[in-house]
Amino acid sequence: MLKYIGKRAMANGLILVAISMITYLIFWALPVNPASISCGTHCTPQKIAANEHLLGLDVPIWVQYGRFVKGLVVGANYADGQVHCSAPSLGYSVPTNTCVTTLLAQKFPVTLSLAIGAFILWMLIGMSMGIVAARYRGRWPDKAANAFVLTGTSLPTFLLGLLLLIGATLAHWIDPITQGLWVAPWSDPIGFFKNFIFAWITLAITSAAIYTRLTRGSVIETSSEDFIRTARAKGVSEWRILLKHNLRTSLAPIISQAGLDFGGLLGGAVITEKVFNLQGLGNVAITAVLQTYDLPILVGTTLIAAAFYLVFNLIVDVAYSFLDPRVRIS
Amino acid sequence: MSRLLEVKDLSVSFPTDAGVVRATQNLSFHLDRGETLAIVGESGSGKSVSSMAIMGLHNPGRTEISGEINLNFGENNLEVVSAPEEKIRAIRGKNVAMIFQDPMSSLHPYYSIGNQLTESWLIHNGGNLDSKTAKAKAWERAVEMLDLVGIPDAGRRVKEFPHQFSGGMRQRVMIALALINGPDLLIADEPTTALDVTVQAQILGLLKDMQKEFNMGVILITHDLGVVAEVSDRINVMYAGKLVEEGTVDDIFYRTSHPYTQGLLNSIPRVDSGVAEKLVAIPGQPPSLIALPKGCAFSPRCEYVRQVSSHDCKVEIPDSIEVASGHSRKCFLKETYLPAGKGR
Amino acid sequence: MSDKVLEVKDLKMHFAPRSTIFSKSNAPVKAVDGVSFHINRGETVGLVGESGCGKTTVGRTVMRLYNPTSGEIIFDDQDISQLKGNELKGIRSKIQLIFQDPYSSLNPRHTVGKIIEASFEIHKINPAGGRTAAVKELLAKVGLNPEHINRFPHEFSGGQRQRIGIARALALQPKLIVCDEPVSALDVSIQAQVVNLLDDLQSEFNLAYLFIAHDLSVVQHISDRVVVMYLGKIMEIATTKDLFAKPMHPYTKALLSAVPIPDPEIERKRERIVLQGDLPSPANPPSGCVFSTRCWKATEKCRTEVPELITLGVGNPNERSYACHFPEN
Ligand SMILES: Nc1ncnc2c1ncn2[C@@H]1O[C@H](COP(=O)(O)OP(=O)(O)OP(=O)(O)O)[C@@H](O)[C@H]1O
Ligand SMILES: Nc1ncnc2c1ncn2[C@@H]1O[C@H](COP(=O)(O)OP(=O)(O)OP(=O)(O)O)[C@@H](O)[C@H]1O
Ligand code: SF4
Ligand SMILES: [Mg+2]
Ligand SMILES: [Mg+2]
Repeated sequence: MLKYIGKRAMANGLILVAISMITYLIFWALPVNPASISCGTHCTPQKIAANEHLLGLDVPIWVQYGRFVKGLVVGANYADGQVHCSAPSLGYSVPTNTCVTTLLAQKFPVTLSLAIGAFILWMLIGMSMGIVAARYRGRWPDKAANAFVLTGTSLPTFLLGLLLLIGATLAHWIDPITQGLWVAPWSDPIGFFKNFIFAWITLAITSAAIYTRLTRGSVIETSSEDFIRTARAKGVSEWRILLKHNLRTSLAPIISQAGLDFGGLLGGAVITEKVFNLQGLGNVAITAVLQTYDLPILVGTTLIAAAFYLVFNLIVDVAYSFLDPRVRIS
Repeated sequence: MSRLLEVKDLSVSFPTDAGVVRATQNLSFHLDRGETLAIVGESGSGKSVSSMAIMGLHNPGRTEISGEINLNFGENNLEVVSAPEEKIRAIRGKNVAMIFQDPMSSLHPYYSIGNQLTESWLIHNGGNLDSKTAKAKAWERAVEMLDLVGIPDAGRRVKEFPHQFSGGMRQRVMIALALINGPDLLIADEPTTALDVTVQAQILGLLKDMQKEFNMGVILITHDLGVVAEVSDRINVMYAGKLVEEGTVDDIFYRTSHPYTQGLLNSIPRVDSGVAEKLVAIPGQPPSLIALPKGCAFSPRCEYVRQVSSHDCKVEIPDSIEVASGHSRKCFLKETYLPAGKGR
Repeated sequence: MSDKVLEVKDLKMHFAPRSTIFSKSNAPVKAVDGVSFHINRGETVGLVGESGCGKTTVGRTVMRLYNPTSGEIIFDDQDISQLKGNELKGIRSKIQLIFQDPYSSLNPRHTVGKIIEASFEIHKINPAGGRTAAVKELLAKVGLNPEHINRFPHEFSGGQRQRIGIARALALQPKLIVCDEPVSALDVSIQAQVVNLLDDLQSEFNLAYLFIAHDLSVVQHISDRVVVMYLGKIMEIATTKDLFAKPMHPYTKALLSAVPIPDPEIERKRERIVLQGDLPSPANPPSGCVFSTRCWKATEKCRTEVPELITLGVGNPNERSYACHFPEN
């Protein structure tokens, strides 16, 4: 088991290296020069050259990449030696004047809270509604769940977010000025909750609807399995059949699907962060792409998002193997 | 002493979009302790549906059931059709147990054999013990049962999962599961159909031994007449949801009285018949249960229709007639017994 | 042209181990491990044995759906074991397959006519009188109403679908048909209809059948000779009469004894040899005789020395072979 995790972790490491290289290559191949963006209106070729030197873009791409790796391992000096970021350094962002690692470490908790909160919400709503719908198939709880599925899947997420935001502000539930400023859950749980709840709902609602349908289908499919009939023939009660015999089988594929969908969540987080003014990775990344063309931040956010995704998938696979003894890892 | 099982006028039908499926109609039969009753018939003739009814396993919302199913266990009597779900659940797995056709899919893939065996014991016996003693007792009993059904090294294997067992072994586990509470009635629905002949021989032997051990009544559902000849005392022959002939094994095999039974017996090749003659097939297909033919359901395939002068087989429905004590059929023919075919 | 339509010599079909990310296995599955037999023109050879012993794999390898690991497959005096591309396609029209499952082997979206016509299409054959007429004729041959040419498979019962499968196999006038459990999924009363049909077609077209089944009574009824397999190897080959009357291999004997006979009198008197245990895994077969772990006659010799397939009366019609150190009789 440990050996398996070790192997997977190693493979994941290689994937991350490949992703960082690809990001560099894409950036390099784009016909935009970041040095001229930060140059301002009275731009001269000399200024651009100086900027390039400052940004570390005056050397061939492999040297740039080499510096990046070195920074990760032992730390490095940037901006012509004026700044030092200690290892693991993902680079230095000139437009924001910070070490990327420090910047991301600041923003990461916001995105993590957003993503995990939404994930928990969506899985809880989706699975419980799906289970209830399946249990009372064809009766009113099933019909209610079906209505939820239809609405949830047809709602445009960001519009819902805006509506929620406007509604909540008008009702004075949230303060538009402080909304989005980071408070840690342990220092101010209520503030934290208020900060995130509407963002969670916005982000979770569509997935919750999809997972309601998935869970319902899976539970119903499992209920026609022969081993469920066997349990019934043993005299097991209906609720126990559902909870012990059915769910373990029907939720296993859903959980592994959730691992994959979690990646998509990060994409959705970008828009949601913008709407709710949450200062997370998504916000930073958008600024970096659209305005400052800030390579170090882009590489950093890409890598963190990818690592997040890979780790999550590993967790899901391991969890799956605990559910299903047939794939139990030797 | 009253009978272990007495079924009276049992009809089960399923309303579907295409129409009402009349899966069984007016079945009446009985079973005593220590006796093996075989139910034979083509696919879709209602064998499984009637046995599921005895277990009370039909979904009440989507099934229409009428008639009576009287179970008599001495202290614990029950009429299944009208009984509330809790009452039926209390006897399911305790007094009445069932083995299914496919041992590959009938066990839960995620739980250990021991877990599945003990659950059954605990549901019916664990109530008045504290949980720790109950669990210990249940595991002891599980190992004992695996041993009894011939699984070597039961103490170790009880912790394994279904996928670690072969098909034959899983069917042994299913038998252990069915017998763990010492049932009075065992229903085996095609218990050996998915198994190889050599393994089938093992399992049939085991079932016979277990029947003696627990003095159970056994209902064996199968379409294999060889298996029937080997293990049963009495036989119910079903066609299109009806019981067309019933009698002892010898009645059915040597004093065949219904044309369908005769057709069935003639259409099977036998390993001991020596020369390969042409098989006598029953022409046509079994009817749809949604649109049953008028009159006798077998009439479109029956070669005797023209020999019946007293009635019109294609219009009138034959009633059950006793041709000898304990031997009855549903047919208008004048001849009581039909000649054996060429193969026999 | 020799009498033999098919001759298989020392055929081996080993499947590479399947390793998943979770588990690794190194031993290849020896599904077929050194099998030799032949089928004469117009003859039916039954192939029996327990589930997983390699019957289907033999059938599929003979049809060259797999590339054999080693050995020769001589069809119509030509070794087809290494053929590729168009040559192989040409041979395939001469060997056809009938499947076990009459439900999944027919495309549900095509009409019966289209399903059968596809055979002509693939091999670019234009029968005299046109394809539609040929399809109708085939339908009539297998006992279906030719007017039903435009119906879809779900409009037919299991037995009728099996007839469609047979019509499709017949379309290219094959010399050999591999029937893989053709009646196992059918009801007894319908089984007899299909078995009789196969019988009739054989005499009409001088077809040879490789008839794979685990139901010994059906095999006994339809076959001229029978091959008994166990764990990828041949245990015994004999004419049907000899095999069922006087089996020489202990495994054959046990197999026959396990088949219940639909006759209560006989059943009451019968002594049965009940084999203990299960079929070992073909990835890790026992040493010596593969049957030695379940054989009541096994000695040290059986566990160490592989018994050769010995043939008695080579060339005469009652030729029979067995692979056992201590044969019966
Ligand atoms: N829940 C259901 N809804 C509708 N029709 C059903 C249902 N259960 C069974 N049937 C139908 O009832 C008929 C009898 O089914 P049953 O399972 O008893 O057949 P069987 O005799 O056991 O056949 P087999 O040998 O194939 O197991 C079949 O036509 C089947 O399609
Ligand atoms: N494509 C394949 N890859 C790997 N192993 C295979 C493959 N096909 C078959 N096998 C294995 O080879 C062995 C023989 O299989 P085969 O299907 O030939 O058995 P069979 O005699 O036809 O059994 P049955 O009666 O169940 O149809 C089995 O252990 C099977 O798991
Ligand atoms: S009643 Fe008529 S049709 Fe029915 S089985 Fe008897 S003879 Fe045949
Ligand atoms: Mg059934
Ligand atoms: Mg096969």
